[in-house]
Amino acid sequence: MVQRSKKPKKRIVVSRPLSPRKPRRIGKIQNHAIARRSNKSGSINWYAWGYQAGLRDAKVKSIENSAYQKKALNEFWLQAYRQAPFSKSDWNAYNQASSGYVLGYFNGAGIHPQPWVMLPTLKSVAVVVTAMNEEDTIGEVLSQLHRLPFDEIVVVVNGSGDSTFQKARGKSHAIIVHYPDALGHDVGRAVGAKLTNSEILLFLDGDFVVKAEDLISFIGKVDQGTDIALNDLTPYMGTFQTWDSVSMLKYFLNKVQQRGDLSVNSLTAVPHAISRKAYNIIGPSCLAVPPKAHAIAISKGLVVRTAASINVLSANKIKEHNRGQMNEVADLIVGDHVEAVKHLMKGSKDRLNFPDVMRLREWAK
Amino acid sequence: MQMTSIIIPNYNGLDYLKPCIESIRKYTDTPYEIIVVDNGSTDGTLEYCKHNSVNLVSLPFNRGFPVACNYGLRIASGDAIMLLNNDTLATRNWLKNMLNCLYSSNEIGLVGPVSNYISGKQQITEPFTNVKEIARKYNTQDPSKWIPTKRIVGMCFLMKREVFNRVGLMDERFSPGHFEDDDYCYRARQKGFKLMIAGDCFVFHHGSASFKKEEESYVKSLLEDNLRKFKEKWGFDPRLLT
Repeated sequence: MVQRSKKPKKRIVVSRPLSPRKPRRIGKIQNHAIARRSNKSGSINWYAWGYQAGLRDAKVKSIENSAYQKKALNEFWLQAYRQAPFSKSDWNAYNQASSGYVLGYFNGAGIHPQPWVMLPTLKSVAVVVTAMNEEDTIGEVLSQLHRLPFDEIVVVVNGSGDSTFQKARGKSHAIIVHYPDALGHDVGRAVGAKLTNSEILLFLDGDFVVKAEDLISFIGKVDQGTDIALNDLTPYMGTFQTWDSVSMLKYFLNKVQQRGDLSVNSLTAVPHAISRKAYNIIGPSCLAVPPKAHAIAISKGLVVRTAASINVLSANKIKEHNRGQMNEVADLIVGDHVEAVKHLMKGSKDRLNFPDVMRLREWAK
Repeated sequence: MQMTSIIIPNYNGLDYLKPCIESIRKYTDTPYEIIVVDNGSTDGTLEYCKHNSVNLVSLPFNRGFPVACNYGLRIASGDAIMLLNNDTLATRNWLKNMLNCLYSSNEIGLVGPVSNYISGKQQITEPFTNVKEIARKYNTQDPSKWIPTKRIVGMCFLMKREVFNRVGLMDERFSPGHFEDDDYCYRARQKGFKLMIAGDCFVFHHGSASFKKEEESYVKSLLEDNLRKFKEKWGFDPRLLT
């Protein structure tokens, strides 16, 4: 009988990364190999992989002399990411690995850890935030954005009667536009986009806090070739019979262009990210009418996909109590869809893709 | 009807900016929008803009004149675009007269006014008395007072959108300022546009407000640096054109 010497199972105990709110104690790493969690799926602990990579890099690479340290660290991270043993479309793994890397680097370099989140690209990234009276949320929205090394942050404050502008200005190095008239989110996004130079444009609303980690897949997808990276709202929609008219129109617009796979997802919802190429093709005045921009993107053969699934609908529901206002907004979006379909019909037959094979019209003349 | 975007870069110049904007509001009777591009002022400019319904692009810190202009140029939506110093005052009929000159011919791309404190051919020769009097004298439409020129000073710089579309943004190598207007004028002329001085439009200018606060030696070295940059870029001395 062959006796097998039992090697003690190597375990790595690692705590979650520091959250921006409260610091936690960090466990010790027992060895330097990649840990395998002994569970059914056999998933690898990407966080530990990232932590080790960060720890290693801290010994040989320094961010201290850099003017934009967050970006310098991001460049080191991207070098490590190139050798990452997980799929480039696995954003969960990415988030674990990059947060491990950041903490590993800070610990290795002996610097007090910052809650930085690393971008998955070397391309320039701009974020445009539209806000009206968002003094309660704009601070937190910007806090999350500050965790990422954006090249440009543009906040478009419009029609504001509260201290949104002052709060944003006091907190951030963003470029802040202040227009006295209410522009609406759509025009606000287009105005903000006009100020940017970056290759990737990300759009957010100032009334809904999105965690930095949740923005990664939008940016990553555009980096990898997607032109329009959308928020996937389908998990939060009930069955079709419960849908409101706006949702039905969004689905219709997609179906009309052979993109039923996108369901209700379109440029009307945030967050979304677009490529500079898409911005140049659509242009700011069409971007201000999201369904039209969406239709143009598909008709011009741009790559339109969903990225992540963030439930922004709960924020909108709060405003539903004021039914009169919702009807106006709904009417606006319905009108936008009419404009979008009209635009599609310009370059196409009267019935777009809906053929009329069975009707013998000549007999009714 | 054509709309003019008036872009005013500003850095801690509220004392000049306020009367400037008030004069624009008083004397402009064609459609316009004012866009203040603020370079990180701490003198109350931001509050002033907020309380006086002025369109504002707030930069976090001072990035100089060309960078500020470029943000204004990108966000402007007018058919005509003007760059205007904050230490100026608009006068009766000012914009109407300049637009009249600008659109008098398809070839004209850039127009500037005459003023009391400006370099080159735009400087009025008679002694300056007060704004109202001089404006009354000058600001009656009179095409015979239009003078073709090779250079318009950036203090009040009115162009067609077409010029911006074809010539592009200001060259930011000339930050924080000086000679970026010479550079832009040269590029516009290279594209075939004509430049005109509207002698029937007087705009008041306090004079070098941005740079007066700095030390003389700093301004001198800035002028020298940018002059050198211009010569390196184009191979000639721009002062020969004024």
